[in-house]
Amino acid sequence: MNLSTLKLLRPMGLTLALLVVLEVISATIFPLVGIENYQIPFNILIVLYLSFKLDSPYLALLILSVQYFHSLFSIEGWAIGTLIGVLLSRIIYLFKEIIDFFAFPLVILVVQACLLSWFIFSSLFIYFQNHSFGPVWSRFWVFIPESLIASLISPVLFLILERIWKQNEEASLRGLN
Amino acid sequence: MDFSNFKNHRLRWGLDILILGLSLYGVSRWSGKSEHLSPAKSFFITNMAIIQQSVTSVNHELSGLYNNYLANIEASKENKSLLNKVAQLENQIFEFEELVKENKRLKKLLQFGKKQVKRPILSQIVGWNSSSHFKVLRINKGFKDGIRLQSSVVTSKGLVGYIYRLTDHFADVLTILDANNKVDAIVARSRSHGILEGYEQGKILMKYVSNIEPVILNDMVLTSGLGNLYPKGVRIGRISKIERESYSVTQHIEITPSVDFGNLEEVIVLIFPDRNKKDKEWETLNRPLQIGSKN
Repeated sequence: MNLSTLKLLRPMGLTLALLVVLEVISATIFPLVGIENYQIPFNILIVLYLSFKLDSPYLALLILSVQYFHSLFSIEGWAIGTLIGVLLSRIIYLFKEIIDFFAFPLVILVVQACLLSWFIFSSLFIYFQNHSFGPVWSRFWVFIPESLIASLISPVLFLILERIWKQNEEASLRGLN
Repeated sequence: MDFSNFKNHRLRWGLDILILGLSLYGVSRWSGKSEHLSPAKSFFITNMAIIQQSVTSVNHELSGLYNNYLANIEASKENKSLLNKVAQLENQIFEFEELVKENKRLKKLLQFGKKQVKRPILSQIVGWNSSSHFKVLRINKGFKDGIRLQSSVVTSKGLVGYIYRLTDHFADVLTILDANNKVDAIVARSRSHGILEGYEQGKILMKYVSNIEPVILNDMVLTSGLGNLYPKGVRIGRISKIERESYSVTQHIEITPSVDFGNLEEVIVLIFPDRNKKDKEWETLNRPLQIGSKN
């Protein structure tokens, strides 16, 4: 899909609105019902969707805006996520022609692999920040259940995003529509 | 490849490199200690926090109704046991009052430190960090309520953390469960000194405690007052695990925090009116020494 600059604004606005709703659920409603130690990384899922499905030169800007809105709910900041997101989108760009990203089980597998890559990249930053593997190790145990749930719900989120970005039928997720 | 594709390709590379550079700059500026917000980000955070506050309020109202009903049933049962407890506590208060008087006399004799006047600000938690890798709480008080960056946050049970970033009406608290939050602490009984940092599963790690320090399980750990961030003597938690290895010079000490972070609803932010004076002291200490200067 190659969208012009103006055509990107509306779906991107809707995507950011969706991200805000999901972040409010993640940062406010989940902890209220007792799930404060595990949060689903919706921002990463959105970045992955954009990287796989969008063929736009402005992709890096879109990733930056997703991470900026995420940083309103997290002290993580926009920088680390943007850096990893843009690097990952470059890697995805190289491989997306050979990956069949439309089959339901494969979406889960590919998302899980991407979440693992994201975790490795971000752990490197954490390691450089703390000069210790302790925080990385403790993050790993939280990452396993979080990433599994995230990859399992990713087809549903991608379906919603697909409606927002109005993908054509060829690009839609097979088996979901 | 046609011309428009070639142009898009170049534009994408250009934007990617530009944003990667910008991100690298942002990463190099990220300290994990505190964050000064831009007006735009402050505006966005305030608006998002209002949404979070509304959601939290609705939940509290609903759970309040349910809990009040249950509480009424249990109230009469608890009343009897509480009356007994009150009698016991009155006795204890009398003993503590005597101890306070004695302590004041001794402090006066020793001229033990300058008493810091602090102003407590009660705040309600409206949200948590949306990434589980950071242990951060969002509270409904900000700069206009008197809160400043790096103010200490406590509850009646103990230390919670400090103010990491703030807007006019909301603030984010970096809790002691976060690995980026380093707390200078002492063991109350043995006066052993160490640095605390967030560990796994809601525990805190006490680092740099020598193998020969006589710490034992269930020892209370307090803030030492060093580091110019937390006041001295605030409870942090109790030692729940100790590992001493023959090859190591330090002990592996885990602490269970006094504060139950899972059920936290309100916190107290401590404001020290002479904070600016302290900041100036630190600025002076941090300033590089200029050899040959008149100062």
